[in-house]
Amino acid sequence: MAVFQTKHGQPNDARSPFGKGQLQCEACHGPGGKHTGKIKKGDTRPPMIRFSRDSVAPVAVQNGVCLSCHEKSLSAEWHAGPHASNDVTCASCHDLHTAKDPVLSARTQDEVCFTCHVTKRAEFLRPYAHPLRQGKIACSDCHQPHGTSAASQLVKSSVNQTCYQCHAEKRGPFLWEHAPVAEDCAICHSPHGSSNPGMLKARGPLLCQSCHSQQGHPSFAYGPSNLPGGSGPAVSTLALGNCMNCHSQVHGSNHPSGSTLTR
Amino acid sequence: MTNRSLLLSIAVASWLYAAAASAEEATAPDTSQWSCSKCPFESGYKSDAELGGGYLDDSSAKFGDYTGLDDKGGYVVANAEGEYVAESGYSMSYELTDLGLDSRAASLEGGQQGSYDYSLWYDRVPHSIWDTTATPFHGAGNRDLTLPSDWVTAGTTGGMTSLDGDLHSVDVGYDRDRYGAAGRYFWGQNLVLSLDFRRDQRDGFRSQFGSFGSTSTQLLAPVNDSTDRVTAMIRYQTDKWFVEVGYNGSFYNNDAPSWRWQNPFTPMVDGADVGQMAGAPGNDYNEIALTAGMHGLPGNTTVAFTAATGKGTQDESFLPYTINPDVYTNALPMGNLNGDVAVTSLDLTLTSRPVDKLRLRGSLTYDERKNDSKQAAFDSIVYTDMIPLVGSETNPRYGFERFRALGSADWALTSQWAVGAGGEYRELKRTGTTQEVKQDELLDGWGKVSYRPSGYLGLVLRAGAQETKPDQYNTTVAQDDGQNPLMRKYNMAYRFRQYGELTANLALGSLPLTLSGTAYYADDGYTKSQIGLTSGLYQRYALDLNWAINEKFTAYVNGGLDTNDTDQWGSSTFSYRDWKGTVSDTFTTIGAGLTARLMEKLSLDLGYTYASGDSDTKISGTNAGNFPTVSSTLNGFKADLTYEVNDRLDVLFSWWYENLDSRDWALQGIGPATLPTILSLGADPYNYSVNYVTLSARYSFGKKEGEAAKEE
Repeated sequence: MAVFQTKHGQPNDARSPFGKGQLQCEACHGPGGKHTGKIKKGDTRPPMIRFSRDSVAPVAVQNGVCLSCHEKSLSAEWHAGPHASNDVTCASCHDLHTAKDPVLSARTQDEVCFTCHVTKRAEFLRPYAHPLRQGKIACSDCHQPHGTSAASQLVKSSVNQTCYQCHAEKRGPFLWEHAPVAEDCAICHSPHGSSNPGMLKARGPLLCQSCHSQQGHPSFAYGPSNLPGGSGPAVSTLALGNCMNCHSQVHGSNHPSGSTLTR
Repeated sequence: MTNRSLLLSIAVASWLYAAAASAEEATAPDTSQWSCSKCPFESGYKSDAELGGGYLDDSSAKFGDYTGLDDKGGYVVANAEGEYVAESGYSMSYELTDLGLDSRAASLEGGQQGSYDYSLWYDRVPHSIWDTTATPFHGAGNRDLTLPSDWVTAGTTGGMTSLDGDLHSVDVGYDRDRYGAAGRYFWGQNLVLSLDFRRDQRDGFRSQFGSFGSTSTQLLAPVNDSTDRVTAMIRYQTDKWFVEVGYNGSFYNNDAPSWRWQNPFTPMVDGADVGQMAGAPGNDYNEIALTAGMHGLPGNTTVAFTAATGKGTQDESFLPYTINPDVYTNALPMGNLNGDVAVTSLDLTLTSRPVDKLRLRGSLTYDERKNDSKQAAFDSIVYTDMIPLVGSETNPRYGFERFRALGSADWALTSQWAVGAGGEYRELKRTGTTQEVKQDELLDGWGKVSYRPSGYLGLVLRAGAQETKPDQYNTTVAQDDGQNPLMRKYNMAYRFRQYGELTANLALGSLPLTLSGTAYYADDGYTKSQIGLTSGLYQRYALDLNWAINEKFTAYVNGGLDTNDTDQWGSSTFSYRDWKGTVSDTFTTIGAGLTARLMEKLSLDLGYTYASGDSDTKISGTNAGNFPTVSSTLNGFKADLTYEVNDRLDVLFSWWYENLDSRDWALQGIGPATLPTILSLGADPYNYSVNYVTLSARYSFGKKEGEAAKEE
């Protein structure tokens, strides 16, 4: 009976299935007459519409029931979105007979999304990840599951605009820009989690050396012998923050002498 | 109830009897007098409050990161939630979470369903970074980091004789406090107005390096800033179309736009005693957006359109070239950047299902960043407050225009088999300051086969190939920047990718068992790169099993394996490639859990998590060798036991065990003075083993579920 603790169970909203003049349970599950009526011996009792990912009711029928009320608010964004195109049912994500729909809470939403996006669970278990596991961020902070025009259903028009929601300090513009930073945060970062500090795609100095090859220290081969205690000299470009031991303003600098991103 | 609504009759009949079934014409029922006397509608006030204590048996910054459980000792368990529902339908609810922890959160929501709603909320996100760190500096969190008066400078850390005595422990991290207020008003049936304000405020400090020439110091950079965001929206919506106009504003303010630190090393040039670092500059961003869409067009077609234009500005006053009084500099060419970035995005998406078996999807996207910030020649740049650079440098302005077109078609061959194909074209033009590649294109094509013999089984196989092609890699531009002409920056290089993915969903007949699995691989070849990244192979496998054993028991098991293998080349002699870096990452996860109603009044939740990662780096050729494996192994176990004393009182016990064992050559064995030219904080790799136990009682106030109905 938890449905009466949800918006669907409100008698004072005329639009609710239990609102005045509405069809109550049958508003969603369809007419019960055939389901409860007499049937011939050997015949299968016609089922009510059941809403779930593995229901025998076709996706179009399930979602059609939901959209008969939610069409306005979801509208073309839903119909044009990839979840609709891939036959995802509303009930694959929403649990309507629970007082608190898990997908609407940051603490429980991730497990709903992982039901289909199974590889993402492992990514968020990496040592450096956004705090999804701790319930301090939700998938829907960055992605709009009901459809958007942006790639990967991002809530903003691009990766960077999405990241700037929380990381506005990276937006600049800076006096000395680092070109890939302005272009796409995901050139260097794996936003779903990484084994490298800062959610970097790879560890330095190799990550930096996939773009920087200037004569001298950017192009040297840094081997394990350059670690403290190794056979070679311990170099300041390998341990700790590696290249960022000096070039610490890697997202850009607004210092007039910051052209090498050291100030 | 023999009457049927026309709409539902059509929907249900088409499902039950297919097209041949006679769609039953029925008169819409007169539901005006319908009531549900047995429905336990909610009204009145109810609330749950939980109070108790917890104990953490060890301290760990990493375990406390985002959880607030960073210090060994006792914690207060305090949670509450409540709701008031008036007879009129007005409702208000609140939720207080983890009040006894640094990760506390609170929210209040209310409104008249269908007329208006509002919310207020607060959430603290504690970001604890390290607790194994030490520094000789005072003033952490402030804009001036100073050394003790007895500090002895030296050319290398080994000569800093007062270091041991001056070191003091410091926990590195900062809190992010998030506040928000939002409201929506439904004006009639079709018009929605909404307003949302939120503030993120950060306070604390983080690690950042500051250098003087070839010496560097790991410092505690102040984090003291705020971001205000405002979103306002007007939306007109009907059953078929909508149009929405929105405004987004984001305003970043940094109370630490610069900070200074004393040089702990003997200055290599006169006057280099203190360094000054620029913080992130304050900036504003304002955007307006128009979104519209229509569906139900001929051929079951949907069109959605978005246009947004925004402007970012930044006019933080410049710092001087240097604070070294012994270095002469010319006047700055301008007092601030007059930063001006215009962002434009346009998108048109179209989906169609002209016949039942065919669905089409396509979209066109344009995205632009135009940097119109002021440019000037900076002719007195002083490298790390020490060395005046000869000549001048002009600040770059990077921008781009991105165009993306994609299309796909899916055709249902039979009720079980479907095929699909799609493609994508992307074009990226880099505008502003010239880069090595001015324009590149991406072409992607894929095919898909899906097999769904029943609602219980679904298999989808998707495979494709993708080519990223620069129009020309301009080695003149690269050489002007001092790059090896054989280098191909990995985000601009030619790349050929093959990829494939198999996903499976299985529900085992009448058994309440569901299984989801994914296998993905992508093979990247940067076949025209001599130096830089040359190949990458990415594989991901995951399995997820859920089992509703019976009404009392549910269980899950999941597992994942990710591998990344990359090769890249370099030239230590600035000529032909002579060294190769190979990185192999493996990451394995296992999870299992059980939810059980052991007795009528006793329930149990168990969850186990294992996550293990290994990263092996090998250098071949010049300076060859294998790095020690970077590894992390997480074992976590949670048990929650709830005993229902009576219908108002529950007693809860929880136990959370977590163990993390990590090794990292970048940190391992490196104390503050281990590296001769870097004075570090001496952080250790994350290692912890903690138990957190709580015992609490939860009491329900006000009405219990169903009481309203009983009263009727």
